Formats: sequence, C-alpha cells, structure tokens
Amino acid sequence: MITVKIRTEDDIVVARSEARRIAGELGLSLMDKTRVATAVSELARNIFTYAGEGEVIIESLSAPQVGIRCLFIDNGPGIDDIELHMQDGFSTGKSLGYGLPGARRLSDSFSIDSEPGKGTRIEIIKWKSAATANA
Amino acid sequence: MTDIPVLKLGPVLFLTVPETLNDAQAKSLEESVLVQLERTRATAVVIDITSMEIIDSFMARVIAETAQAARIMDARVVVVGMSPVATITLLELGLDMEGITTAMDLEAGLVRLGYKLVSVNSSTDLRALPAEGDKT
Repeated sequence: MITVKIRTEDDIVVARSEARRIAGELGLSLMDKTRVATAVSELARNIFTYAGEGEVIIESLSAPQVGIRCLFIDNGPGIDDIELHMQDGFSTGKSLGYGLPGARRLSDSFSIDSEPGKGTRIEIIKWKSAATANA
Repeated sequence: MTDIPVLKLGPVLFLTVPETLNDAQAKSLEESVLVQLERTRATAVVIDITSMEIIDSFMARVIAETAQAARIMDARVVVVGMSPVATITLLELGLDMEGITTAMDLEAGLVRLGYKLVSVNSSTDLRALPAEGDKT
C-alpha cells in the first residue's frame, strides 16, 4: 500500500506514476494500466483543484481476484449533488467536468461518498481481467 | 521544470510534449507556441505527443487549446503520435478531440501540412543518413 499526499501539481504526476507502476507489477495490460493511471490523474487533479490538498492511497488486491484499488480522500468543500456531478460536462471548477464520469468509465468499480463541508472520498477498482495477454 | 523547446524548420514549428506535463509547463507550452509564431512568422505547427503515455482531460484540453490558439494566429496545426491506448482512454473519458487534425507520426503530419522532406543533392539518399547516435 502506498499513500501519495496531494499538495502540488507535481504530486498528481507522482500519484498516476505510482498507480501505473503498481498496476504493471500486478500484471494488468497496457490498456488497463493506462486506464487506471488516467483515472488517478483525473481524480487526483480534482483533489488539487477543489480541495487544495488530500491524499491518494493505492493498494493491490488479491481477492476475489487480482486488482488495484485507489482511494481519493480530501477534506475539501465536498459535493452537494453527486448525481449532477456524475453527468458528462458538468463542472463547477476550471476543468471541463469530465473527471468523475470519465474516471467511472475507466474503472471497473467506482464509489463516491461526499458531503458538503466534510470532504470527499472516492474509491475506484480495476481488476486484472482474465484475457489480457498484453493488449 | 524547464520550458518545452519549440523548434523551427522552414515555416513549420515543432514541439514535443513531455510525458509528464505539469500545469506550469502546460501554460508555457501555449505561450511558447504563440510567441514563436509571432516571432518567426511560421505558418504551421506540429505538436508531437508520442511520449505521452497518459493523456487526461487536463492535458487533452491543453493540447486542444494550444491548437486552437495557433489557428487563431493563422497557423495550421497537426497533432502527431497519438497512441492506440491514449486514443481509447480519451474516448472513454468523453473527449473526442473534435476539430483537431491528427496524424500517425511526424512524417504523416508533415504530409498533412503539405510538406515532404526532399534532398537538395541528388547524391544524398535520405535513407542512407546515419541514425541518431551513429555519428562518430
């Protein structure tokens, strides 16, 4: 398990590089490594943009199958209407708003827990798919 | 982090986006291109993204905005070196790079812009040039 503190833009690069490295060690395909790293990049950037700081916890899973789990935790302003933010094109910040729905599409599992004033916690999981030679 | 170098060859500017692009570099990327366009009067820009393994929506937007800004300054723009995985990831993110001219590699990008590399000396065969690093 590895924790990456998100305080600067460079930490976003560290988070996605670590996710990519761990996904690679677990034997995920190039395509899935890229999906995970891109989702981590989107969500770590959300922390930096909206909450200012937070952390990304990356860990490998072995049950029920091999996979990678990434947690994104911040104590930022939180999200009042999660449904609205899960829609394509919606954003309150400077980004285009693709962060949440995009990260969900890139992941096998996506869950979000957020409350205004209490911060946001997002979990994504990418499983190592059975048929991944090296696609 | 240092600025991204913008190279000029004839009327074409070339720049390679590094694998890890941070916000400061992203900002300098767009500015460098526009300043160089004005300074050199170049009429075309090739943006090479071959080394970018990950393109998230922020980076995609930087590339798209740079291309858009260059077009406003009357330059034609082509983005080269899009990898299959980056393409699939971008589409899954919901970004389609609409309005961006792309080409597989630098050579195809130059063709897109209407240029090709020719030898000025008939005895020089471009294919026979030593590869990078081969020079003694």
